[in-house]
Amino acid sequence: MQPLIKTYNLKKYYELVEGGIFRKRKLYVKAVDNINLTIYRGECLGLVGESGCGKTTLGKTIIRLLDPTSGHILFDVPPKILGEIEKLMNDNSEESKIKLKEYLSKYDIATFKGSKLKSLRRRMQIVFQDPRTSLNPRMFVKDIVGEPLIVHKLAKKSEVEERVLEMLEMVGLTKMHLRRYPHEFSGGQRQRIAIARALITRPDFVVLDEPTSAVDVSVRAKLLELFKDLQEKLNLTYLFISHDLSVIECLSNRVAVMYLGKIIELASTRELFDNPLHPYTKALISAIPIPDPTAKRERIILKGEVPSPINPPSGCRFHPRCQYARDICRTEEPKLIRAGSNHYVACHLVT
Amino acid sequence: MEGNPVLKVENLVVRFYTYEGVVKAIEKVSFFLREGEVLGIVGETGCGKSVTALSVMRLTPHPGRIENGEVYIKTDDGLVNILEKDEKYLEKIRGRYISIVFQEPGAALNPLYKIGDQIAEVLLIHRRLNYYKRALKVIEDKIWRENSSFKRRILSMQRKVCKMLIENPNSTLASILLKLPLISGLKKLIEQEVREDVIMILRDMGLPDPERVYNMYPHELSGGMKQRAVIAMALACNPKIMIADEPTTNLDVTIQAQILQLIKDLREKLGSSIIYITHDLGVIAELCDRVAVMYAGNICEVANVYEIFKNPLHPYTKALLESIPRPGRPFKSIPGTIPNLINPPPGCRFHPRCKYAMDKCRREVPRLIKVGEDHYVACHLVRG
Repeated sequence: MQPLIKTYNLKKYYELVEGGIFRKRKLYVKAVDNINLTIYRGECLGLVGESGCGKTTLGKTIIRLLDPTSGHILFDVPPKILGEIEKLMNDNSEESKIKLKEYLSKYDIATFKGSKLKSLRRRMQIVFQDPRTSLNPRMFVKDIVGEPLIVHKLAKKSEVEERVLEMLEMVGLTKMHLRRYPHEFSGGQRQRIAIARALITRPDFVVLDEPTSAVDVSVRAKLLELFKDLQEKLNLTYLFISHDLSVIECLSNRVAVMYLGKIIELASTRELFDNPLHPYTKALISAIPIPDPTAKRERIILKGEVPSPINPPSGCRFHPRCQYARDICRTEEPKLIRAGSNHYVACHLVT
Repeated sequence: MEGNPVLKVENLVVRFYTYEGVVKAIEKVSFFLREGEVLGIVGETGCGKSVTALSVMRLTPHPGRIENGEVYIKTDDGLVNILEKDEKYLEKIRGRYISIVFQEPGAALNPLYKIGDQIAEVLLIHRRLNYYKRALKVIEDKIWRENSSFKRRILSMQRKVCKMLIENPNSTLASILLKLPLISGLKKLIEQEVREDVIMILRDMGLPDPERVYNMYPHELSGGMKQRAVIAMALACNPKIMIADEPTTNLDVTIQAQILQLIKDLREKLGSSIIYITHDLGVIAELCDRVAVMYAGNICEVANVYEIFKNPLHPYTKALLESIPRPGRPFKSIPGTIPNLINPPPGCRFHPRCKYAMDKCRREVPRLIKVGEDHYVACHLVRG
């Protein structure tokens, strides 16, 4: 499979200033910390974690809605050049550094600005969590969905309505919805409008940021079906962010588990759910309530809550809540290592 | 058949008088809650789950009105129909016999008061006399041990005020006296007694370092801790019935697991009966003994939790169960949307979305009939 997006040591820190004028102290919220992630073309990568672990920040940073603090993001780089760049990254000589810089200024979207960034936006889109706040209440549906076409100059004014209608029909809305305002729609329909707006520019990559958390069970199934359909039809690549593991299990090919700004486990969906290795993933999976009263199983209930990302615990960030924590977990940070084919985990217990 | 109900709701009708028209939110809902059981109420948004819960406590939000029906709550004087009682009586009922935990713990707590003081308020409303009596005992103890005659005189003054309060808790004179410098010691004594109780309750809720939490304000707590504090407030007076209105919806799965475990433990310990409202069928399976499925203001099926998952009879229950995403199975959803309750469909309210709808369904409202041990269904397709 071909990688569509690759991130190298991606970081997003938020700065906090504490104290007065004289004793100013800078603190950092490490929302996304050193993430190396590959997203393959045509796949749906699930991203799970508790609230405040940096899932959304990572999603927004990848599509450059937020500016990364440091790190590189490569998007849709030809495989040959990608190989070359990676080779140069491991090489430490002066000459290769210059060459790498040249390549990165051309391909690293973390450095893009202006019109280059704008043309990139067409190819990467996002669907937000709450359609009540992400749609302009004073615009008609046809204007909301058609705006990207006008901004990116993808259609003539006369064609816009036709294209919008085509898109709306694809997400299950009809012609009569064109001249209506967002408040006239139910939650599920509003989310459909948001999806139509994201897909009308025919992007390659879409970040779905908890798109089903604000809707009902019965509507959720419909939306998931739609996502799957559209992925096949339009050949999309998804980053599906959610805290609902049952949804992730149904839609994703691979799943990444985040904890306090770090990816702690990454595996194919079946592998992750059948054979979770990180204690946090185990607890997370065991915490999903199973809709079957006869199912008996062992529950791992985690103590306490996610610590503050301003002062993350030393060593493994999960150790204060981990029942297997040893001395090494308190001092040394575990690296994401390969634990099987297509299974990566960051835990000292797994070797 | 109903065992020993602690709560019985019969033919409850709630309507909302809005500008667009009359919203028929709850239409002839009847159910009961047995002693010590957990009854789950499931349904989609807007089906009337929360309105039912609020109406049971006579807290129906404006512009809603309870039009008809009876709500019996078991009190020390037997079953009482609270819809016939006045606001003053309800004050005694709420918190003592029945209490509620809301979905949004941040909105249920007053941001201007300390957590501990908010819980203490519940205790002071319902158990004030107890604390006065306890304070009296402490003062009498002190008088015996006091050597200085001056201090003894002050203490006996405090005792006098305390007795006054026990005779008439609302006496104005006593409350003025409490503010006097020498007698204010009594006030502190009472506060100390309440504080000890609150800290004990907070400890029972599994909150770490309860002495510190007592003095914290709501914004200093995380979502899970806030919800624990709200549950502490609801259970402060050991009510027989607790209504939990989606208490874990806004929490993370790991915190949800903690809160569910807490509710399970508390139920064992206190023996309260719980009405648990949620749209998450997983939580229902985990926690509840019986389940009532609601749709558009009606209860369409009530059964034992095993029965609901194994042998659902109402088409809506079936559809709801099928809409749970499961890996390796195509997604199934319920066609159509929830009807507008200003003009609900005639007959069975589910018929426009039901694939088995017959002519009869469009005309006649199905009644809840018994189909098996503890299993009731409201559907024309099912015969008793």
